[in-house]
Parts: sequence; C-alpha cells; structure tokens
Amino acid sequence: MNVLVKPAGMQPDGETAPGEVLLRIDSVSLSFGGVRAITNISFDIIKGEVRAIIGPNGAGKTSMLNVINGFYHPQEGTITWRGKVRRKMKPYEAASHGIARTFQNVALFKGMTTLDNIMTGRGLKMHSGFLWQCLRVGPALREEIEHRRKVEEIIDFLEIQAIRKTPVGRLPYGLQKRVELARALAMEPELLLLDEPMAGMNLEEKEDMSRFILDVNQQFGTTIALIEHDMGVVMDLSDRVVVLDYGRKIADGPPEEVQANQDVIDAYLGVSH
Amino acid sequence: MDMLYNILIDPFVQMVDAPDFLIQVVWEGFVAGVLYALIALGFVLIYKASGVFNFAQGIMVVFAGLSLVGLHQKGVPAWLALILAIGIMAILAVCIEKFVMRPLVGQPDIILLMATIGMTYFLIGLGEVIFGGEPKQMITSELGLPTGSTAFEMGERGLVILQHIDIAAAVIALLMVGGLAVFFNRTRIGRALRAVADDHTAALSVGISLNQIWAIVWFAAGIVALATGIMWGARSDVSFALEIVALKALPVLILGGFTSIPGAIIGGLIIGIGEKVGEIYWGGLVGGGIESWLAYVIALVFLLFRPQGLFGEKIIERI
Amino acid sequence: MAGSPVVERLDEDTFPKFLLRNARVFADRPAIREKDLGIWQAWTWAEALEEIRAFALGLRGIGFSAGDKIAIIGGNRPRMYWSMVAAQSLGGMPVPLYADSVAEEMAYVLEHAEVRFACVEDQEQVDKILSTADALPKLEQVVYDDPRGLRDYDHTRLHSFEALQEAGRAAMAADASLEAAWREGIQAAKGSDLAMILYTSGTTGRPKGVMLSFDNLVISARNGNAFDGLDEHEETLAYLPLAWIGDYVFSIAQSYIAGYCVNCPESLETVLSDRQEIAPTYFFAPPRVFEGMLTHIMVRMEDAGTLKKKMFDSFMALARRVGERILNGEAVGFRDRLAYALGEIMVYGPLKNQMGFTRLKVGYTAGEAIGPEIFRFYRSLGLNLKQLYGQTEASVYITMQPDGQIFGDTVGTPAPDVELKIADNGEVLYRSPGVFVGYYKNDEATRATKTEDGWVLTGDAGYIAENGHLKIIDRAKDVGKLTDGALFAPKYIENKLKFFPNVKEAVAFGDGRDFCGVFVNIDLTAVGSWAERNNVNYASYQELAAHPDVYNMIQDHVDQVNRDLASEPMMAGAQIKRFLILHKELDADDGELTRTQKVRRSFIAERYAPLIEALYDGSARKHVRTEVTFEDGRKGAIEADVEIRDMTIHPTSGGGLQEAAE
Repeated sequence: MNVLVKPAGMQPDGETAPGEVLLRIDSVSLSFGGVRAITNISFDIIKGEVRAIIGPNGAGKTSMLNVINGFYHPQEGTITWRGKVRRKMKPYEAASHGIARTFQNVALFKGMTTLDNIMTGRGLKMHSGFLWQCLRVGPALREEIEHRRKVEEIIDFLEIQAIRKTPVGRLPYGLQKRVELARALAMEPELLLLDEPMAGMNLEEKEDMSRFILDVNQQFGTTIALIEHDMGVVMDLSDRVVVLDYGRKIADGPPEEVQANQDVIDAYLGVSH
Repeated sequence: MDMLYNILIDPFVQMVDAPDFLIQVVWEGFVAGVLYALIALGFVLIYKASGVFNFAQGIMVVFAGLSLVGLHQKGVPAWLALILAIGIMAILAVCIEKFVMRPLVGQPDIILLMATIGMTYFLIGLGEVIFGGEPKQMITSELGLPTGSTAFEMGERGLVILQHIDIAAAVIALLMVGGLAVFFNRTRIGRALRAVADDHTAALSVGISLNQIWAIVWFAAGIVALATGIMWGARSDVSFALEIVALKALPVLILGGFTSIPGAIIGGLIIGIGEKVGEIYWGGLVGGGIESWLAYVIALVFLLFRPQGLFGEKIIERI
Repeated sequence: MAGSPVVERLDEDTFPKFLLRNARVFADRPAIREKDLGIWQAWTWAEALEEIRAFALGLRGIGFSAGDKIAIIGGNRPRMYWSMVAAQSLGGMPVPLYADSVAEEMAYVLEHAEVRFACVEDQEQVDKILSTADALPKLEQVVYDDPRGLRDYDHTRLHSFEALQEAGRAAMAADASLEAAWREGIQAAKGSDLAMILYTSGTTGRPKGVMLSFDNLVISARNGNAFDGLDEHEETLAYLPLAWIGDYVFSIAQSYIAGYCVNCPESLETVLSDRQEIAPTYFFAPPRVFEGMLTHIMVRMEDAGTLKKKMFDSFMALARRVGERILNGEAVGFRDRLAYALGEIMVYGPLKNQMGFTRLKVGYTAGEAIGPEIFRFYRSLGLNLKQLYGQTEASVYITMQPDGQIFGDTVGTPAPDVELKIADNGEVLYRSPGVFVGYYKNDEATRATKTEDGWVLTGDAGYIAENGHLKIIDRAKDVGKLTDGALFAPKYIENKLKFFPNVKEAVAFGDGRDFCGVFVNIDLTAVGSWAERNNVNYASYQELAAHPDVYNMIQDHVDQVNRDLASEPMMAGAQIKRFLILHKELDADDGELTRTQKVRRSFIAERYAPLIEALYDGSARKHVRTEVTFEDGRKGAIEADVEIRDMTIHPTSGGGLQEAAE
C-alpha cells in the first residue's frame, strides 16, 4: 500500500489558473493619524497556496488582512486582485469579489443559531425576489433549499451537526471559531483570510483546525492567507511565509527558509524572550 | 381606613358592579396600547439595527400622516396619496442614511442621539413649510377604513361599544407585526438585518452592506410610522401635538426592552391598559389626570427591578 | 408473545437468508435510516437487499470468497452494516473493530484475524490502516465509505464503496446468472457456519477473537425478540460501537429476524437530538448513558424557575411512590392514578419527549451495575427499563429481567434456553445455544473458559438471591482480601461511589493491603454546575478537582458509602479508609479505561504508583506528574499536588442484611 500523496495541483474554478498570482500587494503603506502601521510592504498570494503571515505582536499582521478585505484603505501603494488594480474597496465589495475572512476574536452573530450564521454567508449568492422570500414559494423556496443544502454540506464537512440549532453565543470558543470558518466557507471564497484561527485553542482543537484548513485548501482548492503565532502550525500548514516586524517585511519564502533567516530569529527573540 | 378602602377595595367593587364599563375601559386602553406599541416598534427596529435611539420616530409619525393628508388636500386621490406617502418615507430613509447615518457612523451614541433630535426639528420645520402647521382631519373614509361603531349587549349587564376604526387599528397592527416577523425570520434581508444588529464587523465580512441595511430599516420604521400616523390621526387629528404622544414610547421601551419586538408590543399594551384603568378607577383619589404620568411611574418601577426590560437582550435570536 | 406470525415460522438460519425473506415479506417497510445533511434518509428492505447485493458482487469482483474475513471499522453507518451482511452472503466473516482504537491496537487484531479485506468509514481509518500496512502482509484490499480527503490516494488497492457497488451492478447487468449464483450461495449456507469474529477488549492481555456461528446469534436474537414481543414495528437507534456484540445483536440480528428498522444518527454528538426525532421503541444503553441523561435533567432543573422546579419535585415524588407500581400493573388508588395521569401531561410526558422515550416499549441496560436511584427514576416515569446480564461469549443474553419482576440490585433470571450455576469460588457459569464456538486461534483460552460439557466461565462473581434472580458483585479475579482477611470487592465499592452524580469514576485498591483506599474522578458536568451555582471559579478539571469544597462534598459521599458497607456483614470489613481525587480524568486514550469505558485497575495502579504509595504511607499531600496522550498521539504532561483524606470507619451495624437486600 502506498502512503498518501499530497495533490500536485488544484482544480481551476476561477478566472485565475492555479499557480498564477491571485493577489499582489505593492508598496503598501498605512498609517493612522501619523502612526505608521504598515510601511512599504509588497508580497503576493498565489492561487491555491496556503500563505502565512507571521510576526511578533504589533507587527501589522491584522492591519494587513484589514487592508486586503477592505476594512482599511492604505494611503500608498496598490492592491492587484485577479489582475485588476484596486485602490479603494469596501468590505462588502471585497466579499462579493470572493474574499472571506475570520477574525482574531471571533466575530459571529451571537444571538443567531449556527445554521443562521452560516446562512448569512450565502447572502451574496441569493437573488430571488423579496416577496417570494416572504411567502417561501416558487423560486425562493428552491433557492432556500439549494443554499440550505450547501450549508449542510459545510456543516458536515466541519463536523458541527450537533450544534446546528444552538445560538453561537452559547458555544465554547473553539467551536465558535469553527462556526466562523463555516460561515466564511459558505461564501465559497476564492481567498480565505484567517486571523489567528487557532488562538486560544487547546492542542486537540488546534489539530482539528489544522486538518480542516488543509482539507479546505485541498478539497475546494481555496487559496488561504493566515496569521498564526504557533510556529509549528505555520510550518505544517503553509506553502510560503511572509514575516512582518514593526510594519515592515523582513522575510518572505518557504517555511524552512524563513525559519533559518537571522532577521526572523532576531525579531522573535527580541519579543518573546 | 377609608383611604385604604378607597385604594384596595372600592375600585374592584366598581369593576365587578359594572363589567361592561370595565371592558370598555380595557378596550380603550388596549387600542391606545396598540398605537404605543407601533411607535415603540419603530424605535426598536432602528435601535436593533444601528444602536441609534431615534428621537425622531415621533415626528416621523406626524410627518407621514401630514404627507398623506396634505397630498390629498392638494387634490391627489387617496390611494395615490398613500403610495406617494410611502415613497416619501422611502426617500426620507435614504436621505437619513446618506446624510446622517453614514457621516456619523462610529461616533459616540450621544452624537447620534443629538443628530436625531436635530432631525426632529428639521422635520417639524419642513412639515410646516410644505403642509402648514394647522391640525388636519385624517382622510379615514377616503382610505377605505371603516367608520362607525358596533354595540355589544351583555345581557342585562350593560353595553360595550367598539369603534370600527379601533378594530381596524388593532388588526392592522397585528398584520404589521406578523409581516415584520416573517420579514425578519424568513428572508435573506431579514437575516442580514439580524446579523447587522448583532455584529457590524462580522456583517461587513460576509458582504452585507451596512448602508443598504440602514436605509431598509429606516424605511421599515417609516412604514410603521405611516401606519401609526393614519390610525392615530383617525382617532384625533393629525397635528404636531401628536409628537408628544410619541414620548409615551419611552416607558413602553423601558418595559419591553429596547431590542425586543414582542417586548414593544406587550409593553405597549401594558402601558395603554394600565394608564386607562388607573385613571378611571384610581385617578379620582388624587384628583384625576394620572393618565399623563402613570406610564412613567410604571417604567421607573421597572427600571429598579428589571433594568433590561421584560424581554431583555436575549430575545434577539427569536424576535 | 406478540410477534408477527411470519416471524414465528422460521426457516431461515443465517442473516443473508433473513435479508432475502425481509425483502420479500417486508419489501416496503423501512430497514434502515440514516440522518445525512440534516435529513433522515430511509432504505426499505427491498432497497437494502439491492445495496447489499451490489456491494457483495463488487466485493466478489475484487477477490472476496468463502472463508475470507473482512475488517469493519467505522461508525454506525448503513454501509458498515451492509458490508457485514454482504460478507456473510459470500460465506465470509465480518470482523468489526472499535473505530476509536489507535493504529497499533488495530494492527494486532487485523494481523491476528488474518483479514484480507477491510471496509472502513473514512480517511481517518484509511490512514490508520495504511500507517501499519507494512506489518499486515495479508491485507489486500481496503474499501472506504466516505471519499472525503481520499481523492488523491493511490487507488490500486483502495476502493470506494460506491465504486464497488457500481462494479457489482455492472457485473450483474452483464451476466444475469451472477445474481442467481449469489442467492444459491446464500441458501447453501448453514446455521452452524461461522457468522463473525468479535474481538473482546478485555481488561488484561491481548484481545481474543470470539467466533460466533449463525446458530449462536440467530437463536439468541430470536429468544430476545420473543422475550419482549418485538416485531417489525420497532424502531431502534444504532449508536454503540460496531465491535461490540450488543450492537450486532440489536442492530442486525434482532432487526433482521423481526424486520424492524434501525436508525443511524448523524454523528455521535447528535445522538440526543436524533433520538428525540426517532423516539425508539426498543433501546439499549449502558448505565452511564442513563446516568448522564439524569444528571443532565437534574442540572437543568436546578436552573429552572421556582414554579417549574416545585412542579417537577412534587410530581417526581408522586412518581417514586406509585410510578413503578402502575408500571408493574399493581393495584393503585384512583386518586393517585388520576394525579399520575396529570403528571404524565405536566412532567413525565415532556420529560420522556425530551429524552426521546415517548414511544419506548422496552429499554435495557447492562455492562455495569446501574444506580438503584437512577434505575428507579426511569421506571417511575413509566418507562419499562430493565437490566440484563450478558457477554460476547453468550451472544449477549445470559439473564434478563422478565416484565413485572424488576429488582434494582439483581440482573434477572436466566434468559430462555440458558442454564446457570454458581461455582464454589462464587464464579457464575452458564450454558446456552448462544455459547460461542471458540476463541479464534487460541484453543488454550477456549479451554480455560469453556468446559468440555459446554459451561462457560463468566469471570464474574455472584450469587442467586432469594428471589431467584442473579446478583453480580464483582469480577471473580478482582475479589480479593485485605491483610486482615476481610473480603474486598473493588467494583462493588466503586459502583456504590459512582451512584453519586458527582462521582464519574472510582478506583478502589485493597487486595493484600491493610485497608481500602480509593481514587475518585469527579463528574465535570455535575460538579461544574454545582460550582457555577456556588460561585466557585475554576479553569480546568484539575483545579476543580483540587478545590477544598469539592473534597468535602466527596468526603460526605465516601462516608455514606462506608455507612452502607457497614450495614452489610460481608462487605463491612473493607470500608474506605483513605481517598483522593485524581488530578486528571481517566481516559481510554491514555489506556486508563477500556474502549467500553471500564477502569483498568492494575494499569492505573502502575501508572499512579506514587499516589498509591501516598495513599498507604499516611501522607496528606503528594506531588505528581502524569504523562497524557492527545488524540493525535502527541504527548504532554500535567502536574499537580494531590490531597489525600482520611475517613472514619463505621462499626458493623446489626440486622443490616435486610437493608442491603432492599
């Protein structure tokens, strides 16, 4: 019997073929009232890869994600998304262009059930008329069923059947993170941004989450950019790593290479010890 | 002793002696309560979706009523006036979103509250300029709403008279609440609305446009205001004095909780019935007129014991 | 008995034959359901036949033939069940394994059973098998149910269940005689043929493969059906491990014979809500499940409003007084009956609905002693919960409680066709048509367990109580003596402790020692809810377990157990003198529990040797460091200062025998 083989390519399903640049950040700078959060950073994300953004606290990682999904608008530099340069993009526009994300501190609709939370992720893909929806007949019913099915598949995929009808505010943190991932997946994104997907989890939950992230990447061919502190996780998951420190890029490359980089070691030692 | 008797015994003796009168009083209170509830509903919708306490909800009721009657007075047929009034509320919603909410988003709550107070005076002025300041007669029959009344005989025990317009008010309020419930629970936009109410950041990340949702909410509140304006106007007049009545929504909200639609309804009914019954049976003890302040006392007592209101925060998930 | 007439005339003696019969007689009745993507999907018996046939022919296509063994590893999925019957239809034997066992445990069984085929549920199991594939030269083909994550695996010897079925269907379409040959093969099989091999997890040593014939299983299951009048209208929930004899008997044997429908829950976590939706009529659960449900209810009642709680308490008091008597058909006053009927509407009905027992006809528990209070609770609600005593080697049934003769502390009278006797050393022996053929490739063990004239040693110590019912006190080999000669039955003591909702597990030591000492595991749900109500903050199990108030609470429980023991002359000598609360939960992943959640006393004694030492050297505290294994196999360690408490020993109270027998 053979051991498992990591798949070589992802199935192409967007306008960008695997291996091509999906997103390019070019000399982006961002400041808040004179305080520089990001200084002249450039890197790219290739379709189909798992890209890690790491760095000590305050390195500008979350700001970087916020720039990508349109929460922040950089003062300088350009962002090229699927070959088109964009300067200012609103978050909901980013979402409709196929960028989904999760948050460091979990941003869920706490009063709504797991199912409803994930259904909100389908909102952009639902188009039937308002009146039909109210009446739940005709095209709206078909649409609702079709989207519900998609959502059920994600529920199955992330193994959260048991909490389908539970208001997410009542769930433990680890499960909330999983629901947040489910909601992002429901958007069928081309690029998935994960802000510390494993923060605050125990080892077992981290293992599960790592497996889900890899599965998402392999099964759906979703490109993933993630911020993570746990170096072990980063090394296991990512294809390429970009390292930030004080808002600047200090290294970029495959995990092994980055790990051996002296600047990176210094940055980490300077902070953590 | 007499005092105690007058407070604890006599009112109930009266109630039992004249049940027809009691029913009449409760009905009057009920109808007033329904209207309070409708106003409170407008507040709740906006508060839930944007966290803004909309001081202008009262004037929106007046403005909606004025637009309807004013247009009719200018020769527009009633049905068209209704449609145009709805359109005016839609335009108003879009304008509020664009010129008030959007520039002020992220500011402290007090700033937004001040903005709605400003809106109140702006709308008063605008209404007076366009339609004039004098009280107007609601175009009840022109809109096809029933007038007249039905008397129910209760055997030998007396007579209860129900105004048809009151019955219509109750039915319309019920339909409106039912419609809102369906809207919230069954539609994509309703789900998005609940999402926005829950967490703005998360809503943005799944591609919900806050601006669009706010416009929709203000429009929904506008529709509720129009319905309230018609009903209230039919019972008295359409005038700027109505705006004061809107303040009654405050105790209703304290009672029902600021974020709960069922809370707004139950709270409205409690206040409406409570103040009528209080006025009739106990009001005489202090020389009458307690109707105008009893609601606030009830609310105060509630604040002491259950500050989150009857239905508190947790009701969001079910609405 | 109320079985349908069809079932009583039995020509069938193997499960594939029953399948053919059911597809004819119960063609349109549901055979199995599965909740998938939030919806219950059902297969009728006719459809089940088609699925099984397609798979069987596909299996044959990749070389499966008579005498072959196929490992079955996975959860309670229809396809897992179908693969077992498909293998039997080809003259082969399924060998179900515990899906949560680690790769090495699995490898031993796979190797020992000489399986050439494996049918597994998903990637996780495929990975486990592949990781040990080098040590399994005999293993040729692996079939999986769920393709997720397996797309890019090398498929030369890996097959999806669907692909095999497609191949089977294609083969059948190409050659019509295949189907007839398959049917002939089924008809040619005999009841005396081997039906399956089940590996018992055992508390010591390597697992042993219990060989069971169709006769063993068919006769036992038929007796089971007749005993409780089960027919094709029953609904059951399949949620216990496939490798456990009970699941095979309840979910295949009895189902195929009676024709009833088996329901597969969506996942192990959703069993509760799935059971609510299905409302099974026939249900089995080990005592811990019933305990868990009761704890859950009690915790929720603690949080309920005053009115609700009052209503619950008063109606439960009524139920305790008259519920069981009504269930047993005894005479009860009209007023009580009326009040009980009201209670049914107000409390019992909603409660049963909550637990998914609305339609329950009969429920069984076994495997461990059930707390008398817990047992009585369910019965007083009008649920016909009964106990049975069984073993893999007996094809489950040894003793069962007949309707109307239910006693909390005994496990019933011999099941139909079963003979029972007690050996001189107190060990329980039985003889029945269900008695296993032998241990696979282990004649020595077979001879040690089964006498020449067919009696099987259960390994349990017990006696026949005055009412003629069997009472089990402990594992025969675990019953020991203190240095002063007093009888020490650890399980008996542990169970008494475990009957307290706050105690999850207990491990008693004492054989060959001066006194009895106990390790306690608190129940995180029950104690956690207590902590919440009493504003006790805690971050982990470890912190809660070390809390002085928790210690006091457990000390009260231990004292109560000592009083109980003092009232039983036989047991009074072994009261608990010292106890401690363990700093971690006992876990099957760390080898501390068996896969069926039984404590492995000797392993624990070894692993926590420093704590045992502290238990017996009189120290009040002990610092320990314990290695733990996480699910992925990584290791970590936890450290703690564990407190040890002394208890008072109560004098033996006279006349306690009646009390004990109550």
